Order: sequence, then structure tokens, then C-alpha cells
Amino acid sequence: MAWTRAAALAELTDGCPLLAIVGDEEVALYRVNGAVYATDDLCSHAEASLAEGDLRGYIIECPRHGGAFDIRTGEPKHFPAFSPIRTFPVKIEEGSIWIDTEA
Amino acid sequence: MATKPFVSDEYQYGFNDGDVGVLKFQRGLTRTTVENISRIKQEPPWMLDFRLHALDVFWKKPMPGWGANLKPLNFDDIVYYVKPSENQGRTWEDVPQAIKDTFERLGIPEAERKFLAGVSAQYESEVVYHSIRRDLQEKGIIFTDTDSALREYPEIFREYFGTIIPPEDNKFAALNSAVWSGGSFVYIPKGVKTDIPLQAYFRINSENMGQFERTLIIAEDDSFGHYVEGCTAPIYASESLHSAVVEIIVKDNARMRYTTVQNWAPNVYNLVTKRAVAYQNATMEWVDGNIGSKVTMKYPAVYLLGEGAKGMVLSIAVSGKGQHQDTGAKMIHAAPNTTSTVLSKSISQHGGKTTYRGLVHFAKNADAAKSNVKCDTLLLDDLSTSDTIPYSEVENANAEMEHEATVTRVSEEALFYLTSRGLSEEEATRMIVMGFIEPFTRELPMEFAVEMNRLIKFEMEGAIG
Amino acid sequence: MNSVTAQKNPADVRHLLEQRFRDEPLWLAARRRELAEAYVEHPLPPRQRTPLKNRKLEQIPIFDAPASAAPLTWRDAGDEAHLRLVDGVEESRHLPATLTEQGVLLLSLAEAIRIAPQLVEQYLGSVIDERSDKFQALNGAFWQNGLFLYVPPRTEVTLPIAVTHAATAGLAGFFPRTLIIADRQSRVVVSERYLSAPGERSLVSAATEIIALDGASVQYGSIQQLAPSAETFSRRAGRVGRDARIDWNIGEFGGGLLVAEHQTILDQPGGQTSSLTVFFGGHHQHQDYTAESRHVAPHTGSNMVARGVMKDHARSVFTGVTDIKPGAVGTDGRQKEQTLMLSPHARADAIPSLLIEERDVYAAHSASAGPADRSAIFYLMGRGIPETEAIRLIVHGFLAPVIDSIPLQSLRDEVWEAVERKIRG
Repeated sequence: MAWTRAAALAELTDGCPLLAIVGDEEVALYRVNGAVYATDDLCSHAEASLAEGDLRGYIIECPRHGGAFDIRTGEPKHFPAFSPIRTFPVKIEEGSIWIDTEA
Repeated sequence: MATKPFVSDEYQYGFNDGDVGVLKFQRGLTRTTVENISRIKQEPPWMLDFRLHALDVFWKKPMPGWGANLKPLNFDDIVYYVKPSENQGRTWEDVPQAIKDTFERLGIPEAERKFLAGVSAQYESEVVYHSIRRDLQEKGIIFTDTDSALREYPEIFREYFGTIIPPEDNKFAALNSAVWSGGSFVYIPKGVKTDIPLQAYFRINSENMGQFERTLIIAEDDSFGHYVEGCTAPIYASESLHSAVVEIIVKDNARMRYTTVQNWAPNVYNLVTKRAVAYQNATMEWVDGNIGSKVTMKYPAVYLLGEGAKGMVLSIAVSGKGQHQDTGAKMIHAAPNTTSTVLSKSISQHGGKTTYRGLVHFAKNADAAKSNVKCDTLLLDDLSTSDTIPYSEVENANAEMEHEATVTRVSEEALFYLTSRGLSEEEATRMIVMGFIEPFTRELPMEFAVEMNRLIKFEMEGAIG
Repeated sequence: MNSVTAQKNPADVRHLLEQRFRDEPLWLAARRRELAEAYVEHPLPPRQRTPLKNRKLEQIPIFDAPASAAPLTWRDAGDEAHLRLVDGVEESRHLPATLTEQGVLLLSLAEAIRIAPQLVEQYLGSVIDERSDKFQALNGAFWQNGLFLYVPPRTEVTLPIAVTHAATAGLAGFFPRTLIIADRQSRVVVSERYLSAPGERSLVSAATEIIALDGASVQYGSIQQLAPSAETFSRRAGRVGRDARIDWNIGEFGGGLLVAEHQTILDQPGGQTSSLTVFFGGHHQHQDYTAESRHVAPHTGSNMVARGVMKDHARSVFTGVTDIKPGAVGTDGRQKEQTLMLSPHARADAIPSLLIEERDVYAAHSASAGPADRSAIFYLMGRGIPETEAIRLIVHGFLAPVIDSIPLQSLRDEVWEAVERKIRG
């Protein structure tokens, strides 16, 4: 377990992904219906930033080539993405978002 | 009647040709252009939305920063849609002499010539076409043009359309998604195996050769199909941008082969996105011949998503004066025990340039995957150039990848051997070139192979020295 | 002034230059100033598969004076002809009298400015265009010291020359510079080793230029074992004269980040080059190599071979470029690259490319990557050999054909030792 603070909860709005640098990792944070999710920021297809993509429901679309992933599981949902991305456990404590990067 | 404003909802249904005759598509691409295309085709609202979304994506995306030189392309100077029955007033006299000469040399029959030159919208082989159709219908195979498929098989169509190549994939896929027209739709039911190639050539519609063809092929479990398109005669095109999209789904244990031989006239920018997905133990084969065009950028791809899937690309590219063929193959291994083979042969002559640009990617779960790529280039004269730029990305420790490429000129010894046996230097070179591309021509349906030989003979005239 | 913030401001950088480099000839001071400006202006070099932004290189205090740190020791091979530099200071140098009498110059570069200024001025920067890249400009402006080697015409140096560039843990910015000139018909064997002590992060930017004049032959070896805390940019370039040759033997083992390049320019008829790169990535190393042969004149040849081993979470990118320009008739250009993958988390990308603008040539490349042969492992284990030992033997078998072809015995031995160390940890 390596819980690291990623961002203030207030910085993250529903439907608007946020890029957070957590230690050595680049993590994309999302908020859907009040719940917070975290995945790799780098798209597994071509190293673009998912935090710059469109979030529709639980699906994040990579801006580069249109590949898409489910933010809850990291599974690829649309071409040309075909490899999953990592997801990270999230906890909210005292108004901050914490990510477990060792999971 | 003619006083009604064009852009009203009333025109969504019940267009008649008289009104269309009034409608003239200007050069350039606007939202209205896209709306009109959708209206003329009487498409359901979801397709219009899809097109408009793709248009936004097209405008946002930058031009690719790699590949051939696309700077001369002027998007404002292109007509994006031509209604097939409209003849544009082109007559046989309007066809450039060079094209007419080519048809003569290649022995293309009179009727075909008119069709290829865009003078006639109909290819008079109706009889042949109809008899093939009967066979297919009996097996449950659907083989029709994409516009008709959207109308007649909306559920299957919507399930697969745009799922393999989304508009965001690249700028030209976005363009095609906005203004697509024509192309083929093929559906092969479970367990059905076609014993004759499905030739787009025989469909009666000049939109086959359309600028923005969109093809969708679905091969259900255990099926087999062979789709053939193109022809070796140069396709005369007044519009210089052709951007097609081909999506293919090959399900478990099915096999699909897609053969193309295209010879575009030298003013054409031919930018194509072709991608197939292959599931468990499925096989996908691209047999791809590219001749002519000013610029071709085409990288047939197979995503091997199911265990044991196999992908193959067999391609040739022939590039002549002022031409650049930037082609290759992409093989994505995303499952264990998948195999891919790429054999690419390129010929550069008269100062032409060929580039092989390929990708082999082994994802983390591609255990025991294997890939073999071989690219050979023949430079026929001092002015021609060639680049070979293969990318391989290995993320799995148990996958095996091999890649080999050679670039050579016609060997002096081989030439000497043949000329000392009475062949002229031109004939000898031609024989060597035929030998060079034999692995490709061997895989073509017979009539294509015959035309291919004639074409090479013709292309090579003047290649020596 | 804070050296980290100074990196963005040309005036501050100039000030640092003036403080650090005094009493240099005007031409050199002017050159450093010009390149310092280029360094500040250039953005990070765009490398598609090596994103540099997240490495936060701008946080390394490269302009700080070296902090005191434990001395660095390494196993001394006892080379007779040698030069040793630690933190840019010459610690030891020896050249047998017979060679000095023949006019061979083995000097630290700082010394060479005094003793052979015309040669340095003529050749420094003649092969590498330092203005074209941020980290080359950094080296060109701030190089502290390095190797200067000059071999006079028709002189054959029979003794191999060994050079060590070492950095202690207190040096945050390490910029070694090498200039090797082999005059007409001469022959020389020289190898460089690069070492640093682990500690805080450091930025290393190294540059080596080799000029082989007509008929000369240079056998160059290099073994790099920098600390994992070193973010390293290294460029080596050689220009081959008429009927001359440069043979490269390069072993890359260290550095947390390594962006390395070696390039040979064959712009005179009959020039030949061969290169052999051995790389071994472990832990989280990211190694981005480019090997390039540029054929400009007729009847030149190149043969680039690379073998790499990847384990743990390491990532490598290997780009081979055989570039044949119009007029380079009779070129024979070959590349062969092979990678052995030892772990499921490693990644290797290979881009062997041929850029050909001339018909009358022979060019070929091949690349392959794959796992250790499992049947070989099982066979060895069946003979009572533990799995780790079996893998070690296989790595040996994989690298032996290339390492054993390194002509210099002491370099060969060092490379094998480095390989053993990487296999173990």
C-alpha cells in the first residue's frame, strides 16, 4: 500500500478529467456522479494524454486516435485501443484525493 | 416547387431527381455539403449526426507530420460529392489522350473504357452481375453497395459501422466519415464459404470508384470470403483526392481475403485507412497492389485480437516519375499464439519513390506470438529512391519477431545471362521484374494476373537507362 | 544565483561561463558563448518514444560547482598508455616515450588548447553540429575537459590507449568532450570508459568526434557504466577520409535515462565503417539508441550490428539508419539488430531503416527479437544447472559473437564484467 495525495477534491469536477502527477506516475482523475476514479494518464495505444480527452459517462476517449477505455476497469472499449490501462484504488480523506500507486 | 428553400426539413424525404438536377455541389467542404449528402441519400438521423461529428473532427485534426508530401492538397478546391446518374457532361472527347492510349495498349474493351473514364456511369456487364447475385442470395450472402446496405440492413450496419475505424483515428478517416459515398457492404453468414471472389468490379455503379468509398465487411464464425476490387487500368479521375475507409471483421475460425489492385492516374492523392480485426483462430489476408497515383498512403492493418489469429499482408508498390508510394502494413498482436506475415515488394523507376512504413506490435499478452516481415525493393534506374522504415514494438518476452529488408538494383549478372540468350535488355529487365513480383501475382485471380503482366510490360517501357 | 533558475536566462548562463572558464583563447570563449545561447533557446529534443518532459531535467543543478564527495575508485586495468579524468580534472596521464617522440599527442583537452591550439580550433565541432541540439549545445558551451588524441601521418600506435572519464557523486553536471584525429595513413586503437558514482541525479552530456584522414584506421571502443541516477545524452560522430576506416565497439550499460547516438559520415570514396553496439537494460532504465551511417561518396561500406538484452522493467528503442545519398554508387550498407527479452515487463522497440537515393547499391537490414530459447533452458536444467545459471549461459551465448569480435582484449574483458553485473542485478 502506498497512498499518495494526488489532488484536492475541489479541483476535480464531474465529467472533467484532471491530470495529477503522483510520485513518478502520471495519473488521470475523473469524477462521475460524485465518485472518483483514477487510471494511467498515458493511452496504451500511442502515448497521448487521456486527461485531455472527452469523458462520456464512464468512458474516456483518447483525443489522439479515438480509442476509448472504461475508467472503472481500464478495459479498452473502442478501437484503436486494444490494450488495457491500469486503474488505481482511490480514497477521499479530508478533502483530498489519495491514490494507491502500488496496487 | 423550385422556389422552396433547399435546406428545409421537408426535403428529408421524397426527393425527386428534378430537384437534384437543380442542386449543384460547389467546390469546398462546409456543414451544408455534408447535410446535403445525407439528405440526398435519405439517411436516418444517426448517420447525419455521425457525419457532422466527423466533420468537426476533420477540421480540428492537423495534417500528418510524416509520410508523403501532402502540401499541394487544397481542401477547398475539391468537389466532395457527385450524384452517380449525373453525367457531368463528360464525353469521350474530354478524356485525356494519355488515358485513351493506355486503354488501347492494355487492350481494354471499348465498353470498359467508357466506364473507367467516367464517361459512362454504367458498366455494361449486367448479365454477369445478375447471375452472380443469384448465387449469393441463395447462400444468404449480402453483397451490395454501402448506401443500399444502410437502407436495407440497418441493424447489422449500425452494429459494426465505424467501430473499427472511428472518425478520430486520423484526419482522412474523419473526412471519409463525413462525406463517404459508395463502397461495398459484405456480410457472410456463419459457416458459409464463398467459392467465387466477390468482385466489386461487376457492380453497376460508378460510385465504386468513388472518391470517398466506405467499405464494411463482416465474416461470421467459420465463414470464408474473398473480396476483389480495383483493376489494373488507370482510373481517370478529375478530382485529385481519394480517401477510402475499409473496415473488416473476421470472427472465430473465419477467413477473409481482400485483394486490391489499383492503378490511379498520376494526379491522384490516394489516402486510405484499411483495418481488419481477427478473432480466435481467424485469418485475414490483404493482397494489395498499388501502382500510379501522385501519392499513395496506405497501411493495411490487422489487429489480432483472438488467440491463434493470423494476419497476412502481401503487397507490391510500383512508383514512377513524380510519384510517391508510401505504403506498408501494421500488425498488432494482442492475443497469444498469433502470427503475422508481411511480404512487401516495391519497384521504383523513372525517378519514382517508394517508402515501406510498417509496424509490428506485440502487446503484453501476446505470448508465443510470431511475426515475419520481409521487404524488398528494386531500384530500376539512377533517379529512383526508396526508404524502408519498419517499426517494431515488443512488450512481451515470449514473442518472436523477424524482419528483413533488401534494396537492390537489377543484377548485372542476371541481365547478362538473359541477354546472352537472345533477349533484349528491355525484355530481360522485364523478366527479372516479373520474377521479383511473382509471389504477389501468384495470389491474384487469373484475369488480374494477366492484366498485371500486361501492365508491368507497359509501365516498364522506357524504364531502362 | 541559483544554477537551476539560471538555466533559463542567457545572461546568467553567460555569467556562469565567464566565471568557470578563464584564460581561454578568444575563439574558444566566443564559441562557448554562442553555444550557451543555443542551449537556452533550444527546446527539449523531440523524441517520440522517449518523453523527456516528465524527467524534469531542468531541476538538476548542473551549473553548481561540484560538491565534495567520496573519491571514486574502479579496477585499474593497468593500461600503459592512458588518461584519467575525474570531475574534469586530469588525475593521471601516461604515454610511452617512443610514441611521444613520434609526435603522438595524448592530452587532456584543456591542455591541448595550450599545446596544440591550431589542431583543436581546426577540428573541434567539425563533425558534430552542436548548434542543432540542446544537449550538444550544452556540451559545446560547458565541456569541462576530456580527451585530445592526435596521431601523426603514417604513424602506427601499437599500444591501445585507454581513457577514463569519471564523475564523483558531487558532480551534478558532467560534460566530457573528446577529439580524436588520426592523420593520413595512421593507425590507432583507443577506448573510453565513462563512470559515475551513484547519488543525487546528474545530467551527463558527452560528445566524441573522430576524424580519420585518408587511409587512416581508428578502432574506437567505449564502455559506459554511469550510475542509475545519471540522465545521459551522448553523441559520437566520425568522419571517414578516402579509403580510411572507423570501427566502433560500444557497450552501454548504465544511466537511468540514456539517449545515445553514433554517426559515421562517409563522404570520401572508399571509406568504411563497422559498428557493434551491445546494450543491456535492467530495472527501469530507458535506453534510446541511434546508429547511423551516412553514405555520400562512392564505394563506401557500413556494417552496423547491435545486440541487446532486456530485463526487469527496462525499455529500449533502437533506431538504425543507413542513409545513402545520390551519387553514393557502389555503397554496401548493412544492419543487423537482435534483442533478447528476459522479462515480461520489458519492452524493446526497433526501427532499422534504409533511406536510399541511389540505385547502384546493396543495402539490407534485419532485426529480430525474442525470448530465451525455452528448450535450451530445459535442457540445461535437465543437466542439473539451476534456472538462473541456465539463463546466464544463454545470455552469454547470445552476446558472445558480438563481444568476442571486439579486438581489444581489455575492453572485451570489461564488457563481459559489465554483462555479468547486469545479469546478477
